[in-house]
Amino acid sequence: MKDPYEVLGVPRGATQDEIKKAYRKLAKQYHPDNYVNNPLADLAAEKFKEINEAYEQLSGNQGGTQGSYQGGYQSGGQTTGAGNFAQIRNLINMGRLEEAERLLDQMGDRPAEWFFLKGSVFMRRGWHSQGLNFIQQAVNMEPHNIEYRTVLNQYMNQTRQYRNVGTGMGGGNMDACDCCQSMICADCCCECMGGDLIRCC
Amino acid sequence: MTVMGGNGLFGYIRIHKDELKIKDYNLFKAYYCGVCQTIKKEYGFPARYFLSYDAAFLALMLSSVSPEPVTVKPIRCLANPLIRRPAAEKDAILSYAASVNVLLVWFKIIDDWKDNHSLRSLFLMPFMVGKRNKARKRFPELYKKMEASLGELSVLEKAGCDIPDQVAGVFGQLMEDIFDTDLIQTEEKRRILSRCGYLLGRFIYILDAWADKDEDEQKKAYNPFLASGGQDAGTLRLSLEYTLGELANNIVLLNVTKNKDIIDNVIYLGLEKSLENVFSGSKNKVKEKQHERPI
Repeated sequence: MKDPYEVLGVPRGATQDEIKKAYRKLAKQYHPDNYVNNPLADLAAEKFKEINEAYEQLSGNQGGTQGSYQGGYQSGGQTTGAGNFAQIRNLINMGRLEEAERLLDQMGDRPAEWFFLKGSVFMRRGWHSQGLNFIQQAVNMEPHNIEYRTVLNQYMNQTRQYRNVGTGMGGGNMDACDCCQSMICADCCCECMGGDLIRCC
Repeated sequence: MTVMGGNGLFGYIRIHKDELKIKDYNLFKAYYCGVCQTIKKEYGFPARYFLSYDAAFLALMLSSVSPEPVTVKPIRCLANPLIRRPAAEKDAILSYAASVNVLLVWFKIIDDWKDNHSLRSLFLMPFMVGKRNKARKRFPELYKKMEASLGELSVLEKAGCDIPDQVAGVFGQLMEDIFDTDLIQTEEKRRILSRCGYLLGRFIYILDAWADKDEDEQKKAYNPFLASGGQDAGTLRLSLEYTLGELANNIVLLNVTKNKDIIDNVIYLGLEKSLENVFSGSKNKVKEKQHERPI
């Protein structure tokens, strides 16, 4: 059993607040939502479990899982599909992509779920263009299907997160929106102090 | 098109110098110099000419999960004989990166000859074949895999494959095999590095294909985006950013013990910059110039 302080990266004397902050940061990093259809998802899940256990230990006096993140999307989850689809989902989760794809390609009928699962195979294999395309197609065919939409959103979030980290590191450029926003803020501050930067605002 | 053509093998793997701390920039240079010195020692002086940043990055990545510390010592460099520059000392990882560099150069030369019958490549062949043999002897398995992947790539390109992901995947496999070295002794780290290699390879191939689209159309050369007939730039860019996002998340799993800031700089800033350059259509300095000595 690993040292919980080490797992969360906090010193021994850390306050509950510091522990919580460290936990939140790590949980966000290793959250299963960031590893949907990633062949390394099992490694992330392990680490995520470790982090949760460490947090429970260190804040255990207050009774366990308060404020801790739970679970994550499992592709095996909410299927109500035909027997075949359920089988294919299992194969995908186990990383047996060739078999899953073979079964998919044999199907004549191609409803939204077919596109969703084929897209999932592509994503795991790293054929991201095809993958996103097919999953978008599934969403288009069944706009009310929560599962397909959730997964697509997770992919979009992952992309957004990647860009945000880059911007946070100083890689972003100011665009027109940033400029305008800054000016409006500056104007407000100016007016608060009795001046007026932009006369018409 | 072939990603091995043009003015450099990759050139897309780069640092974003502006946001790198000086100590990290110096460390990156030290790796670069270290690989250069190692090529000189193991493959002879002139082979240094073909050194690229990519080999330095490979060394950096592998070293980041290695428990061995990196020793940096000042050396006298021919490019700048007046001052001594810090270079990483030769070790198993630098040696590997040096060999990978030599092999990639060899395959590029062959590729150039097959595609363009360029006289330059014809002239370089006898010069490099001895070095290729040496590298092949040291890493026979890797050589076989590289040869196989590049062969497969050639087949797909000649057949006019119209699924960009598929061709890119083969190049991804090539990079995966390079990163999947038994120099890394932890199974888990190896798994992660392999996948990172795949994603990098795929990213590079697709970016290069997109950048070369117009030129290939004029030259009537193969290009997966010409073959597939029309691809929306916005969706493609999104899928590439997804690839980078997955790469970044995988590196988190790596939990590197050193070089973290440089790696983050390359992954979050450098690669994004390369992407930006290609998609904004800026023809200037799309690729980082190869064998450009860092100032």
